[in-house]
Amino acid sequence: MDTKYDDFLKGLNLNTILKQEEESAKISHDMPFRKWLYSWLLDPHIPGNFQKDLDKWVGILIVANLFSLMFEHVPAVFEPYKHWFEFFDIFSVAVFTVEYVLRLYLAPEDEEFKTRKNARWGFISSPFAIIDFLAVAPFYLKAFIPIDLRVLRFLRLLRILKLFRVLIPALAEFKTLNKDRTFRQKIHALVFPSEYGGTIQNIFEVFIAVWVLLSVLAVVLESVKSIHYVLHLQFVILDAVAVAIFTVEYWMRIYSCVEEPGFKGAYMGRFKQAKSPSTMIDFLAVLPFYLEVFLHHLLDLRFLRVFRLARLLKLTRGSDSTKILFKVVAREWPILSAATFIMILLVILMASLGFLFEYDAQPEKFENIPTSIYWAVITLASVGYGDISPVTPMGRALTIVLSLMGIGIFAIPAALLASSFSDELVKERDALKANIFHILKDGHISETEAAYIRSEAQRLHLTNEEIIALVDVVIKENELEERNPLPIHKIAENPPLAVEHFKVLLGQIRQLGVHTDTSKFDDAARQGERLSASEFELWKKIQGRA
Amino acid sequence: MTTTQDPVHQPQKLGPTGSDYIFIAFLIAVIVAVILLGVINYKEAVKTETAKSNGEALVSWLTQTGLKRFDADTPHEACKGGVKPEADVKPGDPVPGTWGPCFSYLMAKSEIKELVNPFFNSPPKLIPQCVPSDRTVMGAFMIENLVATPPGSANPLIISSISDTTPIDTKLQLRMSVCDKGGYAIKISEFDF
Repeated sequence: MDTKYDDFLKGLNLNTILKQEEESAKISHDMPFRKWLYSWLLDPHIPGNFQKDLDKWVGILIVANLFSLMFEHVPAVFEPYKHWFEFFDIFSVAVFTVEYVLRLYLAPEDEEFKTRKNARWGFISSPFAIIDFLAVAPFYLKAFIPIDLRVLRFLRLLRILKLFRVLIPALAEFKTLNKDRTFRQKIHALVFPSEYGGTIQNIFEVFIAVWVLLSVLAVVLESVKSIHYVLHLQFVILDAVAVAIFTVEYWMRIYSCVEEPGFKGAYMGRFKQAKSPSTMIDFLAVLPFYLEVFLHHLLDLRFLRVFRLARLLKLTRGSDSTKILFKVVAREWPILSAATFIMILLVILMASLGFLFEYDAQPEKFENIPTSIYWAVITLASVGYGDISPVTPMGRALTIVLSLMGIGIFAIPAALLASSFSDELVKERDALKANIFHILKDGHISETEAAYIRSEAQRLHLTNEEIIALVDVVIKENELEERNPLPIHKIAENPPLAVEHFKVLLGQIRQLGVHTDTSKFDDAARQGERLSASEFELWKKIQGRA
Repeated sequence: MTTTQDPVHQPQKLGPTGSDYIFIAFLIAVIVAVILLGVINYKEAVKTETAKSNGEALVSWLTQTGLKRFDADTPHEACKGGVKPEADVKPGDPVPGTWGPCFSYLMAKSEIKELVNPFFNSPPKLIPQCVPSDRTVMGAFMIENLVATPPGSANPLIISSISDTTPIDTKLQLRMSVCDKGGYAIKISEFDF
């Protein structure tokens, strides 16, 4: 008996749903070369072509140019690598020139310019093309006219404006998505992931992530004296800019958090947001800067600088793996705390015994119980630095016991966390399975449902093969449910349905009688008393033989 | 049936509200404050940079002088090498052939006499050691004498602070540092004098 799922299965292409197969652009070869080239390189409406890749790599090159320009102002960096900076500039100009010429050549195919009287002139006079031209013109101009280096650098700074080619469409999309929404809702859409954020929200997240990485890199490099000596001023400027960006981000989050579900209320909602771990991290990321500025006259607060590394934690915002880890720790906290308590108890006990046995033999090493605690922890954790070691027979015997116990004691929390983490993942996968079960109920996977499956697969680190296997299991369960729509006790609760069910069963027994060889069936039934006498009589009655 | 009292159907004001304007003003104030603090930090960093430049200028002068100070016609008599410190000098008077007269000369009469400690707008001092708890050492010079120990010694160098009475009759290997605004030493260079 075929179910609707058999047909559904035939039409279901999971590879496409999971985007396993690279969606390649469907561009016909039977078209003029210019149109063909435009379709592959610049047409934003053809999925799978190179337009997005081109924009992405040009964007990366622009940002790299910005850094190059920044480091050119640092003689200690610029002078030794002067030629590399020049090569990079030539390479950038070559790429930007090729891009400009390409866009100029393909302008008659562009929807924006094709309707103009002169498409190419339309392109040349467009704001984006003017920016593109300004980005490369100074390089060629300096070959003919002697230009002051500072002016040249300023003109090269205009290359940043090329980023508007990405930003302006993203802003337009953001505007459309947030039409008829309030100012605060727009701020919320910008800083919190939501359906209203669009590309600009992604750009915002990337922007913050880049600044986090830059500022952390600066903190790490500051510790290298030779680098700090040369780039001291640049580090100060970079830190101030990073703090300005993070402070604005912090207040934008605090202001707009009331739009988040669960954070309603002008005061309580914001207070709740302020004390959430991710916002606390944001706060700690900027705090050292302010403390150092305000209190450096009173205290030496340079130790606070290392806390700027806490900015790295900003990157864990929205990380599902981190959330799962916190969830697991919170869930297993009672057992973890019990294990920790036993560990502390054991450490203090063993340290006290160690002090008792070893003090007389080596008072300079086991001089007090706190020192012995250090020895006990190092032994219990199987680290064994060897700076403090027992010499008395009792002390050594104690160390043997301590080392052996350490293996078990430290293994408990580790094993507990590992198994809980695994359990949590199984739970999440079961939840996904249940949701896929629900999704397949209507025998159709919509684009939203496919996107959900994709995002969950990514979140739970499931391979496409695992998802396909999961969907297969769900489809089979669905089939089973369709073939056995209700359990017997449910059917029995409804007498008319029970009668219908009885008729179906009766029909099936009659069908069995028609299809089977009666004499052989009778022999088999009697053999070894497979059917009792009453059952055999009933069989004969149903077949109309009694 | 919905009425005009139904909050769901009440028209929502889409433009910036009073609280939005307060937020924008607050945000601008925060940005201005961070810029001001950034400028303060930058100015302090520039002072440290100036102190480092002072140190570099002093190193440059001492290195140049070090090349010629053992010549008979050296232009800087106070820093001349090969002059044994005199023993019969009145207490408190500068002893020729020692570091004291040389430093006084270079800070008073040489090309680098114009150097200014940016933290105090006064000529930079020479101190024996940068002390983090002592803010009066900011921008001061710290010069250490590095004496190589015999091969096989646990420490390859013996480091001692240079003082007014340190003899300069022989070639010296020196390390120049300046104290930053926190009173910590920033190493400028090691050089021969």
